[in-house]
Amino acid sequence: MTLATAPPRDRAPSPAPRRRRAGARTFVGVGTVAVVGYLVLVPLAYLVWGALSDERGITFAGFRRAYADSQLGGVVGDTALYVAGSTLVAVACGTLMAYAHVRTDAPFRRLFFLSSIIPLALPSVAYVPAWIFLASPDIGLLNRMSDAVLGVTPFNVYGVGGMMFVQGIHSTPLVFLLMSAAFRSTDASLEESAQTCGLGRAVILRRITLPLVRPALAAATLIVAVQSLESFEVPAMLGLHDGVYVLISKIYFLMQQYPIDYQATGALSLGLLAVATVGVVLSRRISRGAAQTVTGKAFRPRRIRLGRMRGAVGALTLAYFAVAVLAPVAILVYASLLKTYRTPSLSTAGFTLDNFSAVLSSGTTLTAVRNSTVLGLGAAVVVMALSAFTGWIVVRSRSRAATAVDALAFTPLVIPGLVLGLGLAFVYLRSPIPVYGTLWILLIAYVTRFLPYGVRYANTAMQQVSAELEDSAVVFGASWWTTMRRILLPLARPGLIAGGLYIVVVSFRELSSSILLYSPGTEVIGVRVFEQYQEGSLTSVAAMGVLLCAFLGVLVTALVAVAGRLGVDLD
Amino acid sequence: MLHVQDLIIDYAGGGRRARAEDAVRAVDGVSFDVAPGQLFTLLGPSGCGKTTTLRSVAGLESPSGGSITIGDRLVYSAAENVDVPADERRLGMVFQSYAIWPHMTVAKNVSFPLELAKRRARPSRAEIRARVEKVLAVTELDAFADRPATKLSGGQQQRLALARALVIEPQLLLLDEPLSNLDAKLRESMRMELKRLQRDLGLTAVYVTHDQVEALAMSSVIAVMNGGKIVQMGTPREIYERPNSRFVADFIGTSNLLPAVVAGAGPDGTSVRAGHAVLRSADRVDAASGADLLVSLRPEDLSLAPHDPAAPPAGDNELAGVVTARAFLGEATEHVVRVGDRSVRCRSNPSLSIEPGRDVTVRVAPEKVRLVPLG
Repeated sequence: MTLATAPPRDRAPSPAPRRRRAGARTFVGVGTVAVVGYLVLVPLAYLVWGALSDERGITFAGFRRAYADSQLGGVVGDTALYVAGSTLVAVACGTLMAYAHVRTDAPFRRLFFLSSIIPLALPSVAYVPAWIFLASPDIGLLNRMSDAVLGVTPFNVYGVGGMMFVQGIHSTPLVFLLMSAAFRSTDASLEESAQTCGLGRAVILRRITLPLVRPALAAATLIVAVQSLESFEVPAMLGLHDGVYVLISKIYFLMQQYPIDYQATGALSLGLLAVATVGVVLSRRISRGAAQTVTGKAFRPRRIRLGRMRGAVGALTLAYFAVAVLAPVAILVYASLLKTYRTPSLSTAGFTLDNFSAVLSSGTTLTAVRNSTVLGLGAAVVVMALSAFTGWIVVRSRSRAATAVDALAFTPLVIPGLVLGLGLAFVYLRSPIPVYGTLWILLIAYVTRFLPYGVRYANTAMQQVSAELEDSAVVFGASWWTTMRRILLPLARPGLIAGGLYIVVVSFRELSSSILLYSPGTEVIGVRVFEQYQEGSLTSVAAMGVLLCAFLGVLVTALVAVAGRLGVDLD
Repeated sequence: MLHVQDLIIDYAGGGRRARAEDAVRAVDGVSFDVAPGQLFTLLGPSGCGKTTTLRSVAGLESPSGGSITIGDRLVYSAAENVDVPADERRLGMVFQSYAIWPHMTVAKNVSFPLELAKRRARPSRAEIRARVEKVLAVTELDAFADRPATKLSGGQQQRLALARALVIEPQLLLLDEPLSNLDAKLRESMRMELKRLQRDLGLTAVYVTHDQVEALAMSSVIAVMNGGKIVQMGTPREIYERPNSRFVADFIGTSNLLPAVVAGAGPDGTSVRAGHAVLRSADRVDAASGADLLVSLRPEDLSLAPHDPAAPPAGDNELAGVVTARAFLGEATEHVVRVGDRSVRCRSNPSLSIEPGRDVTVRVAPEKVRLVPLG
C-alpha cells in the first residue's frame, strides 16, 4: 500500500486568500434571468403601455371604448357560458374516465390511455374542421343520418353549444391526466377502512374519495377553464360563422379592423389576461396545498370490481373513443379524399388524392411546412437550453432568486397566445430591432409561449438527479461548468429531449400567436390551414389535417416512449 | 491536519419571506482538531449539524463565521474573507448515497476525478490508468472495471465510492455516513474493512455517523454533537465510560440514569443517595453535599442475583428490586428490575434467567457507578 506515501502536493505556498469567484456560474445565471425576464416582461409592459398611451400621453380612452361597447355585455355572457359549459364537459368526462381507469377493473384499459394521448396529435386546426364535417347543420354527417332516420337535424356545431362540446371533449384528456395522477396518489386504504366500517360504495365515493381529490379537481377545473378562455381555434372557426363572439375572438375581430384600435384591443386583452391570471394563480395555490396531502409512500391502488356495471362502463368507453377520436379522424380522412365534399355513403366513387398532391405542390404550403419545421426545431432547442439553466436555478442554486425565476418562467402560461402576439406586435412595431415580419418574431413568440412547458420538463428531470452526484463532482475538482456539462446535463438529458419533442409537437399546432405575427412568406402550418378554412376549401383543410395528424402521431409516439420512461406528466 | 475554529453555519429559513431572524443556526461555534492519521468522528442524532459541519469542510456549505484550515492551507475564514471553492480544495469524500455517477463505468467513475485536475497537474493517460488499476485492486473492484457503475451491488458501490475518493490521494478523507445504506451484516464487515484501509494507508479522515456502535468501533477520537454544538470530545473509551452529560450518557450505549443526591465526598470517591439506596462511586465531583446529579449505570455492569432472605439487609451498592420483565437476546439476557419507583435494565450472561415477580438484588462496583451532572 503506497497510496499515501506519494509526496504531498502543492503544500508550500498557500494560495492567496480570496472570495468565491464570479465565473461561468454567475454569468449563466444572470444571463438566463435576463433573457427570461426580457421575453416575458417586455411584451406585457408594452401591452400595458399600448393600452394606456396615445400621442398625448396616458389615457383611459381605450378602456372606455373597449368596455363601454354596447355589445360587450353579450360577449362576456357568451364567454362565461362557453367557458363554463366546455369546462363542465371536460371535467365530467375526464374525471369519470380517470376514476374508471385508475380505480376500477374497467375493460379496454389500453384504450383509455390511447384516448388520452391521441388528441395531443390532433391539433385544433384539424379537430375543429372534423367536427364541422360531423355536425354542421347543412353538411354534417350526424344531421344527415338523423334526417334520414328520424327526419330531424338536431346537431349544430356552430354557436355556443357546439363550441362548448368541441372545446370540452378536446380538453378532456388534460383532465384525465391530472385526475389520474390524483386518484393514483390517494391511499386506497382510506377507502378500505371506510368499507370495513360498513359504508356502501356510493357513500365512500361521495364522502371519502371525492373529498380526497377535491383540490386536484378544483385545480384541473381552473386549468381547463383558463384553457377554454384562451384557446383561439374553436371560437374562431365555430363562433364567427354565426357571429358569436367570445373575448378571444372579439380581440381577434378588433385586430382585423382598419384602422386598428390598439388601445381598445390592448385594454380588452388586459382584461382577459387578468381573469386568466386569477384562474392560474388560484389553481397553482390549490394544487400546492394538495401536494402536501399526498405522501411519498408507495402503494398499489386497489381496483374496485365493477361486477355487472363492467359491461356498461366498457360500452361507454368505446362510445367515448368513437366520438372523440375515431369519428373525427375517419371523417377527416374521408373528406381529404374528395375533390368536393359530399355526405358519406358506401360508395368510393370519386375518391382521389388530388387534395394531397395539391397541398404538397402548393408553394405557400411548402413554405409553411418549412417555416413550421424551422420554428419547431428552433423553439425546441432554444427553450430547452433556457429551461436547462432555469431549471438549475430553480431546483439547485438555493438562490433567493429561485422562486422569482420560477414564477417568471411560468408566467407565459397565463398569457393567451393571441394576447402574446399582440404584445409582441406592440414591441417590435416600435422597436428598432428589425424582426417584425420575419421568422424571428415568430421564434420569439414560440420560445416565450412554450418556455413554461420546457421548464416543467427540465425541473422534473433535474429533481430526479440526486444533488450528491453534483456535490461529489465538485468535491473532486469539477468546476460549475464542468459539473453541468459532464454530470447534470447528461443525467437530465432524457427529460430535456422529451421536453424538446413536446415543444416540437406544440409548435406545429400553434395558431393563436402566429395569426397576428405572420406576414406573406412567414406563414406556418396552422396559419395555412386557417387560411384554407377561411377560403372555404374544406377538403384541402382535411388533407392538410390528415398529414399534420400523421406527422404529429409519429412525434407523440416518440414522446410517449421517452417520457414514459421518465414518469413525466404529459399535460 | 484539519483545524476547525468557532465554525458557525446559518440556514436562511422560512422560504420566500425569509428574514434574518428566521435563520436557523445549524452549527453553533464548533471547534476541533484532527491529527494526521486519525479517524475523527462526528457523532450525533439527525439534525445535530454533523453533516453540515462536514460539508462545510468540503466547501459545499457556506459558513457564516469561524475558520477552517486543512494542512497549512486556510480554506475558510470569515475574518480574513477567505473561501476557497469546493473544487479547489481537492479532498476525498464518500457520500451517504455513494453518489456514483450512473452514466459512467466503474473505471470511469474512478478516473474522472484525476481527469479534472488542472492542466499542469494532470497526470498522463498512462499514469491515470495505473492509479485507477491500483486503487481498484485495493478495493477489490478490479474485476468490475468495465461494468456500468449501476450494475454493482450495494457493498461494491460503497467500495467504488471509497476508491474514487482515494484515487486522488487526498490529504483528508471525508466520510458522510458511508455505511448507513448497507444491511446490518455487510455494514459490520465494511466497518472493519474501512478501518483497515484507513490504518494501512495512513489516511486522515473525518467520519460522520449517527450510529454509536460504528463510532466506538472505528474512531480515534469522537466528538458528540447535539443542537449544533460539540457536547463532548474524547476517545471512544472516554466517551463511553465517562459521559459528561445526560445527553451523552443516553445517546451512547444504553444507560440507566437515576436521579441522585450527593451524600458525602471522600478522597477515594463520592457517595450518593439514589432513592433508598446508597451508592459509592469512584468518581470525584466538586459538588457540595445535597447537590442533585445523575447516576449512570450501564446494564452490562450490573450483576443480578435472586434475593437471599438469609443475607443481611441491602448494603452499599446493592439495590433491592423485583423483576418485571425478562428477554432472551441470544448473546445475553436482559432483565428489567423495578427498584423503588424506577426501572433498571440489567444485562447478564444468557445462562442467568430469573422469572418475573421474583425479588432480586442488583449489585454494582464503585468504579462502574458514573456520576453525571444534571442537564
